[in-house]
Amino acid sequence: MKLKEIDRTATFAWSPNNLRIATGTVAGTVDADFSSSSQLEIWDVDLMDRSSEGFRLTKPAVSISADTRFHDLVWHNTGKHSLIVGATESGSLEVWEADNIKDSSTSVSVKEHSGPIKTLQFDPHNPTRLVSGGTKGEIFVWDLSDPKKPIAKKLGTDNKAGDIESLAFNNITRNILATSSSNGITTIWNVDQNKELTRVKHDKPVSHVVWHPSKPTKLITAVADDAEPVMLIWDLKNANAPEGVLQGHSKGILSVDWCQLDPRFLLSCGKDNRTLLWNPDTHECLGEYGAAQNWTFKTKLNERTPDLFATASFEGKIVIQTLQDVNGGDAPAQEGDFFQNLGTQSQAKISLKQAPSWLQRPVSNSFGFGGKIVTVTTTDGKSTVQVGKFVGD
Amino acid sequence: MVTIGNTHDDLIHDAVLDYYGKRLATCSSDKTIKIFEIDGDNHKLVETLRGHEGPVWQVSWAHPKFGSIIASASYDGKVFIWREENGRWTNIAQHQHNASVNSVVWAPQEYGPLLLCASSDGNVSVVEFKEGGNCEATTFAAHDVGANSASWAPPAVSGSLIQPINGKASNNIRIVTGGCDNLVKIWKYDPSSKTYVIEETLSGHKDWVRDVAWSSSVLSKSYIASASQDKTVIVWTQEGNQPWKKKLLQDIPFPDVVWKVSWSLSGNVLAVSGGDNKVTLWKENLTGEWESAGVVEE
Repeated sequence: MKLKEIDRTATFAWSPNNLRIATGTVAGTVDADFSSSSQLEIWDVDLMDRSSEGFRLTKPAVSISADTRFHDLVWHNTGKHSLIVGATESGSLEVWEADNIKDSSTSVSVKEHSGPIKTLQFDPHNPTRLVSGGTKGEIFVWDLSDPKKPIAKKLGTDNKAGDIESLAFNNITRNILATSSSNGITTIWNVDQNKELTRVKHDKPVSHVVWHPSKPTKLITAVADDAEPVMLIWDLKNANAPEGVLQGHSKGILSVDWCQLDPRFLLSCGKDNRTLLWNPDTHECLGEYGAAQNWTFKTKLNERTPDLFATASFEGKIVIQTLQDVNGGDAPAQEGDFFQNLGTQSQAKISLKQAPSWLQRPVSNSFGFGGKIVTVTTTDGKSTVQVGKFVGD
Repeated sequence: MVTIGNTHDDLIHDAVLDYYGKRLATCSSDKTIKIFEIDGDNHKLVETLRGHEGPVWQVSWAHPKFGSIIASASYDGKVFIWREENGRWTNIAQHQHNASVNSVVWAPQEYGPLLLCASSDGNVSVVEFKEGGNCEATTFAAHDVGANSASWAPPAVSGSLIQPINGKASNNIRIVTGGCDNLVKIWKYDPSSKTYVIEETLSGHKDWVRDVAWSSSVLSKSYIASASQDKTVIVWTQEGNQPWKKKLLQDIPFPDVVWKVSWSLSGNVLAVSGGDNKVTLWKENLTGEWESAGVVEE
């Protein structure tokens, strides 16, 4: 079910602390008025307000102008600081302390990349470490222990062919990083040793790479090419060929997110304007959310509440919606949207056959007349019910 | 001791005895509800109820004065009401949310046939079943990113030994809810606006509240237990109209997520079920500390 909409053509990042979302004007687009301005904004997502007036968020809690537009945005707690970091078109890394954003002068801007930065990720095993990837194959590893003085170190050698479009730290094994390039090559690195470990090769540009949430050798690469719009499932135990393919998009795929709490859920979106939900174990497409009217270029689950996710499109909207949808219910009708919505498929169609693991209560108890207590326990996927007695009531 | 295994084709999420302790209802990810007759140490499967399109998370027996009735809550967003007549169970009514319904519980019988439901759509609903078979739902936004559990306050003002007599005590209906916003919230029925209004927001948990249970004890204090993904249980107490006080059931965290808390019928003993499959029993001693209340006899 669509819950909220933000009228921005922007990349975004969920707050790790509460229901807020940061947006940054996305690079590579032109507004109706041909302006090249850029904003970094923070929005409160008030889900207690489900009224039709509250559907469209109009007033950002924070709004500042930025010097350059964004390819990517991350929001992360380092332990000491809550940081919003932007990857920019101009090649600078922009670092804000999220609680302390007042105007553009509050960002720390560092330039190491020789061209635009395309992608960012924090290291799940080291909260102050960030990697950035950009054009000409440039990758930098940043230490943000002191967010006012980011320290950069280059990974690998200079002037690789292709742009780094996506990178991801392994969720289980420390120091392992995957970087994917527009030349189709995904490189696996040991970051501390500054060493290439292996490569996964495909002849089409890769737009996104994600690691399995719990299996350290498994990863998925998404193909951006319209001629072969698939996601390839790899196991590095045999990197010669993918072990599976997720097929369903009709044009190139731009963004993928693998649910950390339940690896049987994966979201993808792309140039066919669609957002699809998958079970990567069974290679099955579980359903589809209401399509946008232009490319959907980023989709991301809320880490604290994976029942929520947001998708950004070049339609000029970021849509916040629920992963579950039992009745294809959709946003309240907006006046004036009628003609705009004509002919677009805006209803979600999600199969209910797979309930998220976070809803599956494995144990229970209840009391009954006469000192009875009923318990449910579950071992190895098998549940047992016992009716026992207790004394002392 | 009755042990039931291998009857459902998938995980079992809840099991509840009827008012007399003679029948047991279980529900499962296999989308069914099963009814067993319990006689001493023996049990017999008498019925399998089918109709839900997703896992069934919880079941609740209505008070027998309303008939032989069960409510069930499912991932498919629906609540079904089932009635048994002359040995035959039929689905007599249903109620709908926009997402998984995670908890369902009938009100204390003094309130009449009212059903309390909590859903992942963030809403909590109270369904009233009227004479003639009509039902009317009062639905309100309770927790921004999903309601996991809800429980009724006992039908008397705390500190009073006077039970409401005849008819409904609807002017004093209170409920407690817990959700994915890590909060416990207390709501009171407002007869003028005909909905539930927030009375108290209790914060203390650091992760999702998985379950809430309001003790039926109506002696000197009100007791609410809340169980959380953060591996703790908090007991919230209120004397008269004073502010709610919070106390961790035990200072060290439980070994795993705490999924379920229930009070005994008298409201004095609290049962806690954790993801480690351990069930522990607790009661408050004279100095206000919570201590072991023995073990479940096997």
